[in-house]
Amino acid sequence: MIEHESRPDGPRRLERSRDDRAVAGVCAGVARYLGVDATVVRVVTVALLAFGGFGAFLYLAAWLLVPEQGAERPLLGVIDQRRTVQVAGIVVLAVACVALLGAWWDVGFWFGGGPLFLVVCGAAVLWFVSERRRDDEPVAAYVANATTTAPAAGGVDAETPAGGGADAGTPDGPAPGGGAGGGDDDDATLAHDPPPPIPPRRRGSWGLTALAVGGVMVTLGAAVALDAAGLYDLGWGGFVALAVALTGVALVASSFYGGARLLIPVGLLLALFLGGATAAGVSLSGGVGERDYRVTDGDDLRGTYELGLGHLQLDLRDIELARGVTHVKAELGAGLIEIVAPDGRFDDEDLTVGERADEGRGDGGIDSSKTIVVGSGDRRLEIDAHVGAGVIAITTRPGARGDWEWSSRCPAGGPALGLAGLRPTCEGDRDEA
Amino acid sequence: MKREREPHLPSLVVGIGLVLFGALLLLDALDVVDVSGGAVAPMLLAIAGAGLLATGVRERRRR
Repeated sequence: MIEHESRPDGPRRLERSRDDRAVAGVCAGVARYLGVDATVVRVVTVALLAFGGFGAFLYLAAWLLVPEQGAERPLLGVIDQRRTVQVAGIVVLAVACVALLGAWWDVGFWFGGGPLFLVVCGAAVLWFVSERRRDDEPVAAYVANATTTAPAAGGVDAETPAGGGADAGTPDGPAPGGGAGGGDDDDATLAHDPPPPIPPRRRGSWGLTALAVGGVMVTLGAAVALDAAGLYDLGWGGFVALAVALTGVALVASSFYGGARLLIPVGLLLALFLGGATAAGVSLSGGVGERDYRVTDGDDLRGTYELGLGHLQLDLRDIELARGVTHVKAELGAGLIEIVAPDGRFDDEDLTVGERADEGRGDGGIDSSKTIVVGSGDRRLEIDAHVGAGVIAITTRPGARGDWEWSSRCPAGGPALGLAGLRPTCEGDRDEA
Repeated sequence: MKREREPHLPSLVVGIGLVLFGALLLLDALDVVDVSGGAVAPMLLAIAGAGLLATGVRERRRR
């Protein structure tokens, strides 16, 4: 391991590691500063993620504020002050424009927040990656010069887009690995001792992966914003499809320009979870959590009861149904639809009234639709229930969800198999509670 | 002499698979076709399998 301190005679300096990095070298840098194993710091950082994402904030702050090994200034100061202010100004202007357009089209201040979040995150990723590359240029130039001819040290400064910070951080010492000892001793411009060598940054494919993910996020955010503005209607499923397709395009491109192999699991997981959810008809537009409705008058029934993720309960025990057949929809992305109705039954059931009164039953799986009938004769309610991934249940009293004995109602394997669609129907035992 | 670079075959195969899958999902979202939830797993397995095959081919070529 290369021990490097840019100011040997001064106090120890906290730096992000270049040669032992998982993401940005923060943990390895802190470990080196504290004299402990980097794994310990990484474990602590990951553990801190559990505390409301505190570890992520800390890491991000360190990434921005702690200079990289060999660099004089932190990431925020790598480009010159004027450019930093310009970039900040453009970002503020863009955010203001988005807010104004949102208010203009009456679609909410931030279009619900989602698109702006995506665009900002994507832009941040792109910016980080471009900064890393910019930061690498002087070092790469130095390494190239030092390994070819010794007196070419001045060539390092020929192109210094990163401004003074990069210049100051540019090593005038020997190249890592090969040219130890260098040939700079006779260079008149170097009167002082050369600083210790800077190890080359460990390169992986994550940079290109991050770049691609950032590009996908920016494009997706723009698409969501345009959808929110009413320019077209793509919907949640369309955005997922777009994200999957864009990831595929990024992978194809990366196969020619560098191989962002990390995108393969990213793309497959994205397609599996979001693509699967979309194809199953899961929509998160209805919100997340627990939603209970108790209706006693048939005229108070809504046309549609909707929830994105969680438990949707419709309590119809004391309902007085209007004359005729009333149709209601219950839409749930993922979770449990619970219809509380003693005389409720699935329309394809063939049970006597006595049996129905005491039984709870459910139907589950992926992309499952059932019609539940409540009432009889000329006062009937038909609930068209659809769940993207989960269970549609009829119970005799509210709160029976807690007593829902998966093992007894679905003896072949519980909810997992039901959700996987391997066993389309599970009818329950008697609910004795 | 400039050495011709060979594309990374697994990335290419999985990328093309994801593009096709995304296009299918897009058509589903636009109600042009109806993709059922149960069809997703086999499709993704096929893509992952093709990616693995491509990895094998690539390794074989490199040896």
